[in-house]
Amino acid sequence: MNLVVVIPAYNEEKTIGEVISELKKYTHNIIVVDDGSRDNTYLKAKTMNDITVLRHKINLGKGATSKTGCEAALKLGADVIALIDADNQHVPEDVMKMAEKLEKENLDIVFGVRLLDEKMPFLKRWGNKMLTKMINCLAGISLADTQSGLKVFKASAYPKIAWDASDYSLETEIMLRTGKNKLKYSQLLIQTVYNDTFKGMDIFDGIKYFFNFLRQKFL
Amino acid sequence: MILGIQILGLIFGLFLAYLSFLHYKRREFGKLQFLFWEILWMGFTFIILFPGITETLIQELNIARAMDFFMILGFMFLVLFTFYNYLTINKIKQKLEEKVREEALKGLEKKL
Repeated sequence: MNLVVVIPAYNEEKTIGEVISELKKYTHNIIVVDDGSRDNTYLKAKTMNDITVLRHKINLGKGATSKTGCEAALKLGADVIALIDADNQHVPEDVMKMAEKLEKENLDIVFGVRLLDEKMPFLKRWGNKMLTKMINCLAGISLADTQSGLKVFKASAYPKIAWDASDYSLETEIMLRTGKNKLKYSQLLIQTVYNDTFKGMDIFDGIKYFFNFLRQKFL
Repeated sequence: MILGIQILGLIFGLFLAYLSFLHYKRREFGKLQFLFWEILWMGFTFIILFPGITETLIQELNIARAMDFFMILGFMFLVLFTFYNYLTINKIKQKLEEKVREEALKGLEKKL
């Protein structure tokens, strides 16, 4: 199994080095795509050996950055692609567990799901719970958490889930496409570390992405 | 007698006609584009000066006042241009994304 890990990164100079170092304990097939960061994310990633670092000249958003990473992974001959956040929120060990599950159970995609408990900031937790219920219902799939950035999928499934969203709504679009194309999916409980409660999605993003989801579903 | 609102409309129409002319002179508009906008603004100022010419149409459409007719027309234009802008921005966004991705992947090709 040729697993390639894609890390979309934007202004993550504080954490990108650690994320790569931790991942390198398991694999050297790592692609970092810097999304036109204003800090030294690109230079930091560049200093790490044996990995591929690409750069968007301007900031496009997480969806577009992940897509660039996936296309690079395909060019590098990946069989399995993993998407992981650059803010050190995820544990690399989970990526390997998800890849194993994907292979063992012959699935198309495995979603990393977080425990929506007290560790997650209050507003995020309740917003996520509501969004998860609505999206599950509309996408025709059943996941415990729809907003986690950690997912592992077969390269052969990529054309079926390839998203149009250039921002965070790639997460919901992937779910929608998984349900629409009747892909074999599963979920795995992952560990999550909340380093910065202000980063990522806020309540307005949640509303925006839900409307985006409706647009993709019905238009 | 020309009403105050007609004077405002006239200034507005002439100003936009001048802007279109300026864009043409700066070569930002082609001849056809320039003609289209000039005809539109001239038509606009003509209707402002002689609103009576729309009376038959207003009666046909069962609209009570000329002012209501212009308000409806104005809203229709606004919606039309908002939609047009939305489509154009979407198209530009897609093209920009493709270009930026192409540029980023060039780095990968050098390595391969």
